[in-house]
Amino acid sequence: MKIGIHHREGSYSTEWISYCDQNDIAYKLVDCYKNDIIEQLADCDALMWHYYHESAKDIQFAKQLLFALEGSGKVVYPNRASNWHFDDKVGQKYLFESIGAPLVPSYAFYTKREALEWVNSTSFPKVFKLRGGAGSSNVRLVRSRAQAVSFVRKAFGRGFKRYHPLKNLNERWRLYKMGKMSFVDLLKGWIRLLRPTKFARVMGRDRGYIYFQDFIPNNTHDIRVTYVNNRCFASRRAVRPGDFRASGSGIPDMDQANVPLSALEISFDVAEKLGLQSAAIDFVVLDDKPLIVEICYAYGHYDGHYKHGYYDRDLNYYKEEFNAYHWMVDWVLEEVQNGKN
Amino acid sequence: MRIAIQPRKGSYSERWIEYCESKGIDYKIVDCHRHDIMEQLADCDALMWHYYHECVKDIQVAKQLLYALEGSGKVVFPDFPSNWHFDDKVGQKYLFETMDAPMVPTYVFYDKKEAMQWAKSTTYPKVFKLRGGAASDNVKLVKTKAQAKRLIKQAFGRGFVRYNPWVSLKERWRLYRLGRTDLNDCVKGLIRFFLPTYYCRVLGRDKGYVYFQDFVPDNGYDIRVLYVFNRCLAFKRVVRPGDFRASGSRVFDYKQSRLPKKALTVAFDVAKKLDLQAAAFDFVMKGKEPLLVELSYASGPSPEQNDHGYYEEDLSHHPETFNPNDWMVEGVISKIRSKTA
Repeated sequence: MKIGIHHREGSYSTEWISYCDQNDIAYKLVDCYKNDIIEQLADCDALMWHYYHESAKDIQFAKQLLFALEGSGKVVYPNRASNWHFDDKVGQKYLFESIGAPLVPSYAFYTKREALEWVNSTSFPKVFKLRGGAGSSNVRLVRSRAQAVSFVRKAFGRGFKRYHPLKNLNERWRLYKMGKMSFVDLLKGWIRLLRPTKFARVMGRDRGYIYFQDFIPNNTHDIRVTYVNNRCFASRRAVRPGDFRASGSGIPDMDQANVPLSALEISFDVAEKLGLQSAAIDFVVLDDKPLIVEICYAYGHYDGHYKHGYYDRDLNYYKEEFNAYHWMVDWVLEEVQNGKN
Repeated sequence: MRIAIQPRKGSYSERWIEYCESKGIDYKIVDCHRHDIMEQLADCDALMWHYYHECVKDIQVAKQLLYALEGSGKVVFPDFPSNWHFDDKVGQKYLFETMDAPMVPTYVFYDKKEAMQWAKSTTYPKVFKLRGGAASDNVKLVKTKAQAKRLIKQAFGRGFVRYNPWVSLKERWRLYRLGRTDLNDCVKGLIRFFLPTYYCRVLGRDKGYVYFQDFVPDNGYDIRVLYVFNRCLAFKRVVRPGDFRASGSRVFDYKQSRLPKKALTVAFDVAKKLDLQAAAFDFVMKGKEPLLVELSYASGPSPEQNDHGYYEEDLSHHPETFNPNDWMVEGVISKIRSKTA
């Protein structure tokens, strides 16, 4: 039994490797970018790759490589069920609707005419999003019909850029003032004004579709439930001051008493129905009912994230420190074993 | 039991509807681009959608909708194994390599430096392709190292547009002289110089990767094997005069005795291993060995392709007229039955 691991600094792979080292789990470092990746994996039963949605290289082929390997019988992390809709909110609309999960009502249009018809008949505010982007990037509150019309025109005209260096710099400045970002990272934001990221150059513009969600008012926080291998852990994230967006705000609330158990229940349900390995699911609350906003197979991790306990399927709470990256390796080991049996 | 069909003029859907009508199969016309598609599908057991890789509306949503529905337990055509690599030659490299299928050696690079190193050390000619495009679009013979280097620079620089109006016009003119298209089509080709296709504008440029295949010489034709739910039909496509590309030439050879039967064996074998519903495989011959070039779940029908019989898995030939689109409907019905059994 051997696991292939693609290592990237600052990604989950660091933890995977140290867990394998500590527990004598056989692994091999592989380079997915190389032309001979399939040969490299010939003696491996599995591949684990924490690929990144803003890497110009990863977005070219990470999903494809993982789909192909899984189809050929290897165990992969992330698997197809957890992965196909990653960084694709349009895909997630269909994902959740198809299983009848409680999703914030979401609307996607592929023609200008239909989008405008809908704009003329709906109420505002609504939330506009591009299909890709994390940490609330590419998310805007649309307060009026006129504003929605201008978004629709742009979506079916010159389109939207995914990466906005000025907005990115503002966000870096906010996080720097909070003490959540280093000076070097702030400086990088300045450099991005002059030299766009490779991702921005490769990605091109989003156009030919438009996506809105209902705006759910009176949410001072969102709820993030993270599911990994049959366990969940949860927190809330406060919205940015004077804003409605919580994702990426860097203001966590780890008090478990504030996490509605119904959000955990929904997360376990969704994960089981879809056969997920790992998923960070974001919720907002409407009339005491949690509604799903979106889902990602991979999630950002901050200091102390794993010190506030976790829940099992029966919603028993274990108030102990844990490491969810290790659970991912455990999942892969179990799957390889199951396959062999 | 009810099948939902997404209609599109000139697509398989026309025959699917005819077939359902003639056999009294319950079907419903749906509009997959509408935001209430899940409600439309609530009373259906399956969705059949011949989506088109150059239709902007389709490429925004087709794969996602089909994946979501399949994940929720509905039968879909095309299903995930048949569909995820459609119009994506980069994905197909991994697909074939993982199952060790006999493929024309294929090289993909996501890094300029590595691509340049390879270009220096390899032999020529090679074939350059973009990941998307049918009928030999975006395919070039690369005769020298210098030419390869230029292509690599462009791939990691300004990138490539998928639609080249000059190449397209030449192709339209060739087909006009062959009597395979009308003058109107040539005029459209001229207009495309000033008004690029909407598809091309939405898709943006291909950049950040480069794809080459070995050039396999002495092939005056390629072999197309169309697999649909356990049956195959096959024919040859003759290369364009003074060219090396056969796909899209629209010059066919249907003589079954001239077909290398080994291509059929490979097609059945790959289709079974990958559990495909439908696939049009293209082969070239290296000596007596057929090598896979690419595959697509859907292909434009060739005239007379259904008049020369079909093969079963034991390679028995059934010299009768048939329609493979009918097999798709039958295949979907048998999938629904096996799910509900």
